[in-house]
Amino acid sequence: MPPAAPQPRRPVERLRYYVAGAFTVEHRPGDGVCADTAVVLLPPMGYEDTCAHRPLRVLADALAAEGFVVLQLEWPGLGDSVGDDASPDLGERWFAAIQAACGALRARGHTRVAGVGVRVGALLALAAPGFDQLVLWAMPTNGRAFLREERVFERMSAPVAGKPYAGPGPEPGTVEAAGFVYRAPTIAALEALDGTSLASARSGLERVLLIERDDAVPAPALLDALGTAGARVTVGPAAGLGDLLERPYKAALNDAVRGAILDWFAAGRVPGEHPRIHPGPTAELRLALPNGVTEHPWVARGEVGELSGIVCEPAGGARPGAAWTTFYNAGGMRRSGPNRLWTTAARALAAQGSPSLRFDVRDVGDSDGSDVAHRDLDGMYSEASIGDALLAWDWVHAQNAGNVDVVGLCSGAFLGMQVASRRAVRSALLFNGLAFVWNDEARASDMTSEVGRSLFDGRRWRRLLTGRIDAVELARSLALKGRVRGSATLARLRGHPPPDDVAELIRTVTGRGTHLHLVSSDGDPSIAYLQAHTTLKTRPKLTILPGVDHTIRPIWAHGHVVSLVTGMNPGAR
Amino acid sequence: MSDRIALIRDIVLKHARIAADAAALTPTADLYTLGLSSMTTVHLMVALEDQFEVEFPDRMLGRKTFQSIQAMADAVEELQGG
Repeated sequence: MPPAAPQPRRPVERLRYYVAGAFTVEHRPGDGVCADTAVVLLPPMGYEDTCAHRPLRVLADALAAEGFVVLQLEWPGLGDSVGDDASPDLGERWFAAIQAACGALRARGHTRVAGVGVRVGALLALAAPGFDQLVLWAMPTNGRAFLREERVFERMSAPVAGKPYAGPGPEPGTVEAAGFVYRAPTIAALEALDGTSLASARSGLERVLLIERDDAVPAPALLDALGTAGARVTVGPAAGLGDLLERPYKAALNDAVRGAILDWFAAGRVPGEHPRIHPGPTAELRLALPNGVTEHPWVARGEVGELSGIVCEPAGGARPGAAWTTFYNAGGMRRSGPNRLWTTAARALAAQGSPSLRFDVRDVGDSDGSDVAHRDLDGMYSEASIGDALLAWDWVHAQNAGNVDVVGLCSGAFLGMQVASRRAVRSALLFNGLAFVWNDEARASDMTSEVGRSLFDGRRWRRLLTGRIDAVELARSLALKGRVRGSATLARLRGHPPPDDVAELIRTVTGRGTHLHLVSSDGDPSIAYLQAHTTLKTRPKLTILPGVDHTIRPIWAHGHVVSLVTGMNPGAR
Repeated sequence: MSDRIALIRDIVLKHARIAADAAALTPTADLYTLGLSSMTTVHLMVALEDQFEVEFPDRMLGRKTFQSIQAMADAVEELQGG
């Protein structure tokens, strides 16, 4: 029998708003007909959330294409949601967000609400009383185990194995992991969570799909507790966590897990019940923050669909002629920035009276495009991404902006430099730019300049060791570098040195009157890249940040970065 | 090859996400030069703890413990009182 023709995928639409201060993307069937059961998607936290965000968006879309309304939450304290790591009540805010999401869905006529919780999100899903059904994916045994993993991750990430980063260490009583901080009240909230105890205390739970971490089996005590609570438990494939928590630009949703979740939801559908979708009556379209600062979602129509962002405004809104700042996603890390740095900086700017837009180019975060953040570096450093960044500049400029500043890190620095060469930009504050022009020379130098030196510098090895460069890419780039260097040497011998596109680009940007300020972490290859393309006379302002890595961690460095952002052209705002 | 080494080798192949085929994964091969990342080290640690019913104490939570299959086997042996 020939294989059945693939069914056209049902269109999906997305709404963005806030639920009890939690930034939420509602994924829903575009035809307005939805299943009786609705879903709340509860993500992991910290660096795990940074990695898993895009794959979980893919999962939410897949469920919506099957007819389910899905609310994808961002936890208070993270992403574009209310609060920060210093908030003393994050635990309460997490549960308030879950409760509000469940309540909103029931108010719209959904008689069942399922929670899909990933990692610590699964523990919170199990602890929240609002769910009839649960998918628990790679749930830690308890909050204490999760925090231990975070501590170990931080220790393994440190420049020298087992030793902390330079500079002041974490404050006593806190856990810092990959630039995210858990303070005492948050630690207490997490340590109160124990999977088996929570399952034992549950009532009214109809069904549970357990997806263990890769290659693990469910704990018998947890299975017993869920069974005693009356839930019908299905054990799914123990897979997908490694794919989900890959580096942000490579993280992906495992096919077996996607299939198991879709099948499980399909099996639980109640025939004949198709309530129409109603707008969320409790949706908050604007987030109120301290100092009168507000934020609201921004969506623009780009070449591949929606580009998504957040506008952050000072009290009273953006005044005419204000200087706007645009923040770009950093590689596969979404618009909230590495370690949420851009959210923090945007809110600090607004508290000083300056509005901003932080947004994701295609393929990243909450913007449309491919399922994986970027298929490769060619996608990340593409003319298409530049086009998205220019579209954002055009929108900001149309807001009666007096000036436009740009801020970016890594591939975001590339975008900032490219935009500044094509549009009027007052200040460009660019962190750890590994390439400002994407060509064969950049492909080679990006990867291999670091590797060559690393043979003599143990500190640089950590970039290899921590997997920021993978072996296949390394081999490819080594071969490429040989070809590129050979061609350049030949050209010089013939008396025709190749044009330096990077130097020319920097000249163009500064010649247009842009105040160009480059910032590099000490030891970052971006320094060598800049030195290779500029002289002392032509070099833009360069600030070196000692003791921090490529993504500006640990956390103590954030205050310095926020000062640099808020200090761009002081007095001109 | 001892049973412990063989078991750890299987766990590494399943969890470490490194760019090496099975033949290259000798007991003393440096896993970090083969691409073991910080995140996958954590996954590896949890898988080892599940498999051998041990818990790595703080003093062992450094790259040295997870540098190679042999290093992990030594650590597990010590924790099991072997």
